[in-house]
Amino acid sequence: MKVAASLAVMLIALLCSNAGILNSVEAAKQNETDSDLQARIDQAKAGDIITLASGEYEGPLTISKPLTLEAEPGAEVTIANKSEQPAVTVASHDVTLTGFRINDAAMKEQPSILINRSQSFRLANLEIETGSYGIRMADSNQGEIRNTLIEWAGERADAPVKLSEKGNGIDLYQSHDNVLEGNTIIAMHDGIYMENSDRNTVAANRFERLRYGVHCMYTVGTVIRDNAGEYNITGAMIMAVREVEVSSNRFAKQNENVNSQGILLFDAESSVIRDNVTEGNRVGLYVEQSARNTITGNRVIGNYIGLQLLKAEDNQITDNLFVGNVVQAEAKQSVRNELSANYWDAFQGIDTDGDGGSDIRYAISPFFQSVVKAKPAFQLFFQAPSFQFLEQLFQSDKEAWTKDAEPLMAPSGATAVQAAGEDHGLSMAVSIMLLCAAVAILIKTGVKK
Amino acid sequence: MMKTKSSLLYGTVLLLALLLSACGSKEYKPEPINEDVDKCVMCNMAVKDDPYATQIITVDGQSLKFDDIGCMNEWKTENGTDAIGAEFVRDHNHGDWVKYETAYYAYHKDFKTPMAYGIISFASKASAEAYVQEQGKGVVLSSGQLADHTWEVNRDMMDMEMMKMHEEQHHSAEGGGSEEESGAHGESDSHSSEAGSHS
Amino acid sequence: MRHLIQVAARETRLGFRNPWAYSFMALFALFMLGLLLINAQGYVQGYSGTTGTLLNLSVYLLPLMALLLGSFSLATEKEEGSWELLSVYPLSTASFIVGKYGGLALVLIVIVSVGFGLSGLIGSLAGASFGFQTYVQLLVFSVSVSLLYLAVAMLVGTIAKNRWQALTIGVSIWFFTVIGWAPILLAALGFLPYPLIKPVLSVLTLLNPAELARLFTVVKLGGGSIMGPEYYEWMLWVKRPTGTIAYIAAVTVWIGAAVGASQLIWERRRSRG
Repeated sequence: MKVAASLAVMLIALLCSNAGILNSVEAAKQNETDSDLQARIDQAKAGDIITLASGEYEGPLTISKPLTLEAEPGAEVTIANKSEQPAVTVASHDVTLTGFRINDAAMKEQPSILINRSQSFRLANLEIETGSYGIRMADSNQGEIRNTLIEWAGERADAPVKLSEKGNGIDLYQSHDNVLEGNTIIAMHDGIYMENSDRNTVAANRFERLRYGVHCMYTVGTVIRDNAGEYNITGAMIMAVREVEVSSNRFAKQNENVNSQGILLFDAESSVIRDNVTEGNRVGLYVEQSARNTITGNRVIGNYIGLQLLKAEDNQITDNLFVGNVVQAEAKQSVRNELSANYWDAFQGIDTDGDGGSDIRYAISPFFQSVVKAKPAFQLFFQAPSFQFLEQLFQSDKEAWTKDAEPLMAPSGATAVQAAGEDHGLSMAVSIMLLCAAVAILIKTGVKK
Repeated sequence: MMKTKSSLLYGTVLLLALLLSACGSKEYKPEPINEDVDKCVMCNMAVKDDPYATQIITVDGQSLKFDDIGCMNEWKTENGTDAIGAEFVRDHNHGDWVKYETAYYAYHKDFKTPMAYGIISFASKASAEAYVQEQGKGVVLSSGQLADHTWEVNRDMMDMEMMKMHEEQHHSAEGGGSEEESGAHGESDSHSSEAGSHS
Repeated sequence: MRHLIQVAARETRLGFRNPWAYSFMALFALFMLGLLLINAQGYVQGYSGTTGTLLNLSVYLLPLMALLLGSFSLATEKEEGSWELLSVYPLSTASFIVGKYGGLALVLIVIVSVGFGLSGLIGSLAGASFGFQTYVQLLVFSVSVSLLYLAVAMLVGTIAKNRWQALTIGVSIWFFTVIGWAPILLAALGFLPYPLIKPVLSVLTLLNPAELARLFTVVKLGGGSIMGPEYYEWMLWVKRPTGTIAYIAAVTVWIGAAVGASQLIWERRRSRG
């Protein structure tokens, strides 16, 4: 087995290097009329800086030595790629790419930038239009990707592209200790996907119209901080992780899809979910089969369901704010969670000792989840008055329900919701009109005689 | 009036129910994947219309979809098999639905599948063998042999799994071995280079 | 047509002399305002805690109001013998029924408008203003649920011999469609094979005006995704303008059928009597 595997590795390595050579030869031939960028790259010495003047350069390019490829200050540089290869392949340590556009709209297997077995690479201020993956990293560590825009460009008028036909914005496989910061990723598959990749930092990125904004699969020690996401299916999909930090992110309006949520934890353990804002999502915070996490200081506002716990155990859920959610919480088969000092706006507590916490506990009903988990077709009863009525009646096994031991009586900090969009002045005008009309009718019909 | 209306309706409903149970000895048919709404019953991930998707049709006629055969196995461990009418997997080459029992499986921990269980299904033994040959790694399993499979996932999360309170059938010890990974592969979560080869 | 308008005008006048109308108006306005001020965290828009609560409040209150006002109005005609008097005049039954419906509809719309007008205005002044689309959507919901149940009320008033019967039947219908709906259907449909639940529930929902109007509003407020995968196609469809057209059509058919049936029954009695 081992032998076979290492043979395979050698074979692939060989193929790769061959392809690289072939590409560069081809590129050299094709691009003689252009500035012949591949040739310049090939001739450059390790550590050189290649500065690009304004203009369009043709890909694919392969960089297999430490090198800096940068646009002249103020120059408009585009690398256009029409091949099936990555527009740029980085196959060396210490490669820097900054300041240019990549136009790589063809739908294909290979990513627009491939970073393969590289260390300490640096990508910054790029604009990538891709019909595949934006940047794919394999076995590449200690690199950084900053202030880069990645946008799907493979849209065809005749055939709308399914989400699953798109590639991820930034895709990490077995790549550790990288910093991904300040990037904007739009309309791709997943924004940043990390598999078997540890201790990466995902900070201050922006995710829009993606499947999942950040998607972790089997990662340890990842930090996801200060990101913002809107209109994705799910903002942060945190799956099979250990010791991850998800903090100060803002995920709003993940509500279009029937499976949407702001932040989802599945098989997440010993992680910290802190100071995030999830607003206007289908589910604000979804926690399933996750244990020993700390969930604190989050503001869960105006979601259809605020908090959803399924088979979540031993988590500490404290000091969160739940305001304006249609249903503030649902919990099923979740035990030994420590809930305390959260603020639930729809819960009426009593505080006789004046310590700011309610003396009665808030017990979270598992009823709706129990009904629809078995038969999803009954989801049509969501918040029907008749269903609420039934839910009130259902009190069986209440001892086992998840409970907030001492919910806060008043919210700490501001609760006002930021989002705007609809015209509020107009509704005031309409309400005045309504009143006037109603009073006029009343006077005309009622008072006469 | 309302009452007669609703009782009439209940009558119809009951009749329909009877009719349906009458044609009872039903054949279980797999439902097509709808990427807009289908999510894995186990892991919550969107189920793609790709050959990794699997499906259980319950005795009651409900379709439960999974993004990876490993998730289907988890479901069976958790819920038992009593409610299962039929289980389906898809042929890796054509995407046709195949009964779980009659399919053949290629396994190698480095095969990329959505939840990294590394098991790929085929309609015939020959195509499973061809795949293993083509990849230069992996073993071919029948559904019977799959029953004895350890169901470990590619990632060595072992040290963390130890901490897991609920010790179910879980992942047995597993060598590190991720170093032998090769370079430019597809990520598991999409049509990877292997998946791309079907034409 | 002239008769119809006369009947309608008389009905509206009578309606506003009825102290019940004012009690309902006060109740509705008070609850709207109260909920808005308690729940609203600065703004009310889309499907949220506040709109969800307001929606459910309307589902509780407005059907009951429409059922009682409507059925009592018809039952009173019988009790007091004014219909016997009217029926000697050349007044068509249709003018009578439709006129009564129209007159009462206006009364209900005024009640709803006062509730919405007050809560909209005071809410805005108190810093808990409605988003425009949300406001209009909730208003449309309240008006349509009132009109739907008013049509049912006409039928109830037609069947009932007196006000007591009208009360009993009216409250039963209210209880069945508003309170008992989910409990009864969960129990009954639970026995069906799974693939049948969705179609049967969908058809039954069309037959329950409260659920029909509520679900339409939830979807239009953007909350369709919470109904889950089974209804996804439906929700997408309802969300588009076609959904609005279909809803208007459904409401029209509903009202037409109920009012038409009442008219037929009165007509038959008239020819017999």
